[in-house]
Amino acid sequence: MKSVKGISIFLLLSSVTAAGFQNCGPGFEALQVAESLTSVASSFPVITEKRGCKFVGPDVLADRIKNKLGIAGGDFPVLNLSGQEDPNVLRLTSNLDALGKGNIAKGTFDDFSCGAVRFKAAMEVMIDACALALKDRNVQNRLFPRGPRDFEEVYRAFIGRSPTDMEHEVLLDLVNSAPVEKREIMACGVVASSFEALITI
Amino acid sequence: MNRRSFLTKTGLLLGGLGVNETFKLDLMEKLARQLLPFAHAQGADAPPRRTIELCFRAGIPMTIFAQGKAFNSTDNLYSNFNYPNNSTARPMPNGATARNIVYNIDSAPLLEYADYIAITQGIVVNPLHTNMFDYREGGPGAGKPSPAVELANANSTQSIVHGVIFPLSGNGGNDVRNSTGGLRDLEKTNNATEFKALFKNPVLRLTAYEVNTVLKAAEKLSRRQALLLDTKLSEATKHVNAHASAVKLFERDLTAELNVQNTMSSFFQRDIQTSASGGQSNRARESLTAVRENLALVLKAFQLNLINSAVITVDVEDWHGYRDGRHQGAIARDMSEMLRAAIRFMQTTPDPAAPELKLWDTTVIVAGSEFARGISAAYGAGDNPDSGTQSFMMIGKNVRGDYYGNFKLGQRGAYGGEVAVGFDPQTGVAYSIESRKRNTAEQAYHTIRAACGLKLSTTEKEKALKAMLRV
Repeated sequence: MKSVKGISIFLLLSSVTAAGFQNCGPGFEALQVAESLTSVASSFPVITEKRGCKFVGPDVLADRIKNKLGIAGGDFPVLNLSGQEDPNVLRLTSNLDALGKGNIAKGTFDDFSCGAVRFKAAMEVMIDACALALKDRNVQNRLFPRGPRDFEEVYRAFIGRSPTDMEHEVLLDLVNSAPVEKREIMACGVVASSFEALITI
Repeated sequence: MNRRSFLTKTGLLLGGLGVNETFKLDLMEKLARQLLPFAHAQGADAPPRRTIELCFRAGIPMTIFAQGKAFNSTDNLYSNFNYPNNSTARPMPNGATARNIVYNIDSAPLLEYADYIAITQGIVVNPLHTNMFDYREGGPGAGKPSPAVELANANSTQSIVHGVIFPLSGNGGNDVRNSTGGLRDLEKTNNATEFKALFKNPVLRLTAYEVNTVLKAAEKLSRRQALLLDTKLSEATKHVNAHASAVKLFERDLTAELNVQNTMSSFFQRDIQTSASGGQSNRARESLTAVRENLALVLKAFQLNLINSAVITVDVEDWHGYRDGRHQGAIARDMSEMLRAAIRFMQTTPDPAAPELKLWDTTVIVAGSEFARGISAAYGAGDNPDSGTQSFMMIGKNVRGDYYGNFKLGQRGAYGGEVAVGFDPQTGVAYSIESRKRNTAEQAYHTIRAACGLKLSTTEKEKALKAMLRV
């Protein structure tokens, strides 16, 4: 009886709070229910549930390194302290633990939760991959066909959509302050290591 | 709307509906957690909270550090302390309020902190052998988040990384895993090198200035992306903050500061005494060497606010393998010295999340074993189940130091005659031996959560072993 009563009250409160507290200030989420969307065909609101954050994982990064940046094998050597390539240590492979890849030998499973360690490792990989790949003029022309201030292609490659005006503004500021020879490399690094590029929802 | 205001208004609403008082409080807590997750971790004026969980594998009872007075009533019957140093129990220091506890020569480094160290062996264990720390998940199969996981996810210190677990101590051996209850698990770092790598700046194909410029722009772009994602992504702000924390990880290379052999020399003044003598393998020594460095790293990371909480595995092989008294004593001594160094560090180091407080004010160390070997009086008949008990120890400012529970030794060679019992949760008075009554893993779980400053519902508070706490 108590649990039935509890569920009823919970549902009652849920509906009351979801309806009444939607504008209670930043940080408030009414049972994680997204804003109501009114469809053309109906005046009834369509409730869309928000999803949790999931990191893309190393396989997706490898695919981007290979197919978007044209680096064969989807991985590449790190630089040592002297700035020389170390063929024995690959950037993505050496970061697999930090990227949340499970390891049967260690008895661990994939953990692609969104966290600082995952993001840091992915930033490291993608910024370095852009710096390596965009030395190739062909890759540069593919991602920036209309020059370093047109972000349409690079955004589509890593985010899957066009940049908004506000996003364009951030990238333009960056390019305007970057060394001429590094403009495309740095813009690629920013987009490829941005939040939306590194999560799936 | 803040949490307090929400609870007040919801309470009035539920009260008006005639809901039972206890049930009302629980329901309000559940609603507050779902509706105001950002406010769940702590009230506006609550201090930040951290924990270090030391998880002892392979049957080590926490009574290696100190015992109730009942243990000392008979000499040489208690196999765990069948070594010379145990015969001389240390008296409590003057002014100490703990009454039912005695330390031994090897655990003497902890004596001056006895008022803040609580130990019990009276927690029931089921199954009798290893249960993989069911007191860390709310009881057998309960699947609730381990205290360190819960605290790290709340991350009241706003540390860059929420928490880490060292699943192994040294190379190989038995591991420890967390129960997450659906929360994000701690970052796994198998050794000190992997831990330091989290905070090391990589050499990239751009200059440091260029990398910094890219990261700042990426952070700015990410915040704008998060605004667009807010309708699709749960807790978008929290997640984009994790992205911003990652940017912070590039700001400076912490390799030098995390070289704890140099920066925390008080931890490393004496060599680990546990050796490969007595026919034992080297694993115990290697393990304790790793545990000491891991513990120092965690405390250093607290000082730099790099992490909120941590779990450290301690595996020195099967405890019933140690029948060489000197070997047992060395392990107790090494661990006690490590813990004393940790306490001293915490008492003198400000918590960067609240500089007016010391780490001692904000941190609880919890040590425990998933089962206990060696309490049996008999060697020959096997000593795995230890009369069905497991143990835990808490160290911290919120802890009321003492040994809790009671014990009756069986006859040598008459395995099974011994009885460990628990204690009254409110008063701390030990249950009678005849009652054979023990406390539960669920009670231990909520006690640890309370000591860590986690928010307990009314029913959870009733389950906590309040006698062990000062809060």
